[in-house]
Amino acid sequence: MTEVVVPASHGRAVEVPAGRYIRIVTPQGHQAADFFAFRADDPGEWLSPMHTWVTTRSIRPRKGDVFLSRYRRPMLEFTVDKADGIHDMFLAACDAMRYELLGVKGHRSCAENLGEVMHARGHKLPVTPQPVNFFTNTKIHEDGALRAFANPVKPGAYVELEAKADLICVVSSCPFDLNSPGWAINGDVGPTELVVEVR
Amino acid sequence: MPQTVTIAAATGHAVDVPKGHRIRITSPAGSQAADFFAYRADNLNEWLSPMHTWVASRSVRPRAGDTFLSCMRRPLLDFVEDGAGGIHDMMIAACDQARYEQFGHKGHHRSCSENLQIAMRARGHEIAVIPQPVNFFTNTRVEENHKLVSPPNPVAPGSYVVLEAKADLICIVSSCPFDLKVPGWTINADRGPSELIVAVG
Repeated sequence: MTEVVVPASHGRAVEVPAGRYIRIVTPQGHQAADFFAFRADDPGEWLSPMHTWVTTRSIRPRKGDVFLSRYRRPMLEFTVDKADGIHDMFLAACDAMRYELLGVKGHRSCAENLGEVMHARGHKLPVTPQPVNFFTNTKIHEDGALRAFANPVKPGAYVELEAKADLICVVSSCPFDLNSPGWAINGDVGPTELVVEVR
Repeated sequence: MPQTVTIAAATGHAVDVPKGHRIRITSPAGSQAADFFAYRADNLNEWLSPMHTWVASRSVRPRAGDTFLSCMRRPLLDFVEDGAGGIHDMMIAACDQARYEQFGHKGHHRSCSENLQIAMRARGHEIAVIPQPVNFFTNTRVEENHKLVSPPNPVAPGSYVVLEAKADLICIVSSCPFDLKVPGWTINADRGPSELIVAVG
């Protein structure tokens, strides 16, 4: 088993061969984990929530669901959910512009975390894919309203996914720490570390 | 002078929409999904992004008064008039060959992704990443249990939307070619895809 600690507000990439499992843990709870996955043999094929939910017909990922790529091929199966379904696929990865719009310049972001770790592997990404945001508490109302509520995910909560192809998976500890009324992402204590295990 | 383009059923077309000009998309027969993409004319890497839009508008359904943002979170278009009763979607990925094969279709099927690529290729642009579209005249809903449903399309004949460009744009409209009978997943009218009218002025 490989264990990687993702420091608070940073990102890490791990290789997950087909048939192996990736487990993402929030030791202190309440920490959003932005998750991206790319095929190792073609980083141009990445996990796509919008292609996934038209097949699962659920906008929240659930245990048993298969995440599809933008070419609609299976990437990962959601095998264990120890966070009671508190996951999101709607929020675009935060980026420098997101924080600037909220009045903060030079803030770390999930988009930057992704770019950094993929760049370190020699990959330049043409776009920031839409992430799966594990441990993130959003809700869509019937009228289409999108809301982000206080994060109730407990310490030690985790998810486990099985790779359906050889993948590079990237996990970002979301650096969101601003006081934005009605828009809670992480816990009040600010961003915390995540632990990633490949087994 | 307004420029009017008829988009034949199941095909797509690109139009220039200069800053401050408006684009009107009409479904003359009703119940026809219009997949909509927009790129900045001066930078094709900056395109309309529903995922960046709904975080700001806090609504996964576009509403008159909302501003569509780019993947760089800059304003691209204002949704100025909704003549379709709010029946619009931003969640369904553009259909593509793989989507039709998923449903068991054999052989080539036209798709919104291909329509986008053909329309942009005619202008000398190769599109490698299909952006998430805005799907006007498309009836989706998220139920209490997070289920994504696509009930029958109730959009009346002659329904339209009007958008105002906040930058010089290339806009692509695709008459969605979806014509399969999939239980619980209605997109267009039962009689099949129909034409759309696009007017810029």
